[in-house]
Amino acid sequence: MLKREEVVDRLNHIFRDIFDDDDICVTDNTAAADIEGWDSLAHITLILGVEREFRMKMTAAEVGSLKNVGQMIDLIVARG
Amino acid sequence: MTLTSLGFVGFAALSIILLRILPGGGWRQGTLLCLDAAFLYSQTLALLPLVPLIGFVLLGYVAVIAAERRRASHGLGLLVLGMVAIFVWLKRYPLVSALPTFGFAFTVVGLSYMLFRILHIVIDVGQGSLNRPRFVTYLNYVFNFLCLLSGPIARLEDFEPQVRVRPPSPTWREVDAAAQRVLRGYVMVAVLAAIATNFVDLLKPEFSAALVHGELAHGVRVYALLTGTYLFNLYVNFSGYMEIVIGIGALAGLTLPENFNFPFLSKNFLDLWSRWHITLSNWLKFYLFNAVLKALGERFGTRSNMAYLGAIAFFVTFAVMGIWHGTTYIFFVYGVFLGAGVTINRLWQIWAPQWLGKNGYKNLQQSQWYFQLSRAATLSYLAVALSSFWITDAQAAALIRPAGLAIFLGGYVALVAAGTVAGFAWDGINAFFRERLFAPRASADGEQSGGLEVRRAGRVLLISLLAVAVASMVVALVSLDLTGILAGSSRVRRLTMLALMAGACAAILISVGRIEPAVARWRDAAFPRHGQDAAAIWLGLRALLAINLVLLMVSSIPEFIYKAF
Repeated sequence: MLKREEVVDRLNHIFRDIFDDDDICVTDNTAAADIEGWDSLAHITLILGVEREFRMKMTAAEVGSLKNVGQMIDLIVARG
Repeated sequence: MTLTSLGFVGFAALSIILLRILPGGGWRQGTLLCLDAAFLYSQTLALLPLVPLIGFVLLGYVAVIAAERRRASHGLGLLVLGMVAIFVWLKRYPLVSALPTFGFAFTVVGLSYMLFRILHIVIDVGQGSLNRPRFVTYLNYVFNFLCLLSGPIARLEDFEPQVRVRPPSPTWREVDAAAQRVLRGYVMVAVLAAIATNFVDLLKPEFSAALVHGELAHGVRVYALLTGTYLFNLYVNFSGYMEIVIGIGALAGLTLPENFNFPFLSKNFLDLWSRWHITLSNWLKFYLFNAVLKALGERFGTRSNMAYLGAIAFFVTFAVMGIWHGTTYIFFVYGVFLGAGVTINRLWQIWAPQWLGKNGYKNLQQSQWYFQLSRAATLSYLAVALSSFWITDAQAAALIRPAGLAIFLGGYVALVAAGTVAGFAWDGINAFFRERLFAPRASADGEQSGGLEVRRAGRVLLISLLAVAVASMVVALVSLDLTGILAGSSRVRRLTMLALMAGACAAILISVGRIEPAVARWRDAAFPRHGQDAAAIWLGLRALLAINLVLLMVSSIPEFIYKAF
């Protein structure tokens, strides 16, 4: 079972890489509106990054309905 | 039955009463199923033509059960393909039109929407994100009478609890808000759309004639006017329909998803799709765009090429959306045209920051000119794309000739120019109304006394009503003479009349938008302690207005417009 803190750490790494911004620190409430450039394209880039990093697969409904980073962490923790 | 028929008004009233008084559980499910069946039957008034449609939905449930049994295997793709293949066959797409169907005429009303609802359940159940719904829930979801004709496409997880459990009784205020939406919807569909339809019908022969004679300047003007009016017509028709069904749903205790979010405020072509037919866009995003982009990204994705893979995914999504809208080849053209639009938009978003620098691009986006131009280009592009919905084969053939193509392109440029000017004018008028005429004056202590507030709201109401009355008369007078204006009179007179008409329409739209909040403010200020009772009084007044509207609808639509003025 993965720890939330560890997941957040690894997520920060992915986010900083994709959005090209080393100052990003995600929290549970971080949502698409909070990060510049988080559009439908970046969303899938992010999902691909997360799937690779945590060796998991997300379903169509999960990819589409994620509202914030908190939900993403819940999902990763549940699968990990 | 259509939504503007008296029969539907009665049917909706009966549905609301039944769904509100009967308890949840089996009663609610059963009632809904009867209502759905009755509404579906009213579309054909015979059982046989409905058989293929019902068969398709039953087969859909078999697919859901199969998806549940063989989770996350390749079988799921086959099930989806199978449903799509049957859909293509039933809709008689040109590719398969040689295949035999049934020995009788049958209806495919709502089939396109049913396909998307069924695929959503099949995929989500197959991937384990959703539990298989009960059969009766499935039927109520797929056949729901409010969403049968033109959506919205709700998601099952949002819809399911509402058909099981009866929601708590609404407050007067909620009833009032829902009734307002229904009324607004009827005004949009029965009045505004009817006027716009008249316009479109007047302009179509003009456009044909201009194409045949190759009159460039006249053709460009008529084409721009025609496509612009058609876009407006489609908007008031479609979003008016949504207001009606969402409002009736709220009254009956069924919350339906929103389908429009001020599409005329779209910043760019990509933004438009989060504001126009939202539930369709969302469905396509969930099950097509995301899937295509993920598949491409997994195989070919690198840091640098994701943006281009995104452009491909956008193109595929919009091409499919076009083909979904209709079966003739012109809908494929529509899809490709929209796909080209999003791809151009996307490439601009990639390249513009490279040319102008990140800050230069940001500054450009802040500029009012850029916004107005981008918005006009976006809406005009949609308007031109929508030509696919009404253009005849002969007109389409003429568009390939140089003169025809010039009319087509010139029409787009003219529409963008007119749209930019109209955008500036509209925002300017709105700002004037908001900041000058109706601006709340701050009193010394920052608080406003009740009496002053009542008087101010009353003034807003009076000015708004007066503006609507005067502008309506202008519209009526110009409308009555429209045929004459387009045919014989001088150019200056024609343009003046059109400008007058546009101005009057804008004044009506803005003022009508002011009336509701003004009434609400006046009501709250005048009856601060009796908010609930006051809501009931206003509900009564609205009911009177609704009865009037219904009486007018009994007569045919053109007569109705004539009487309305």
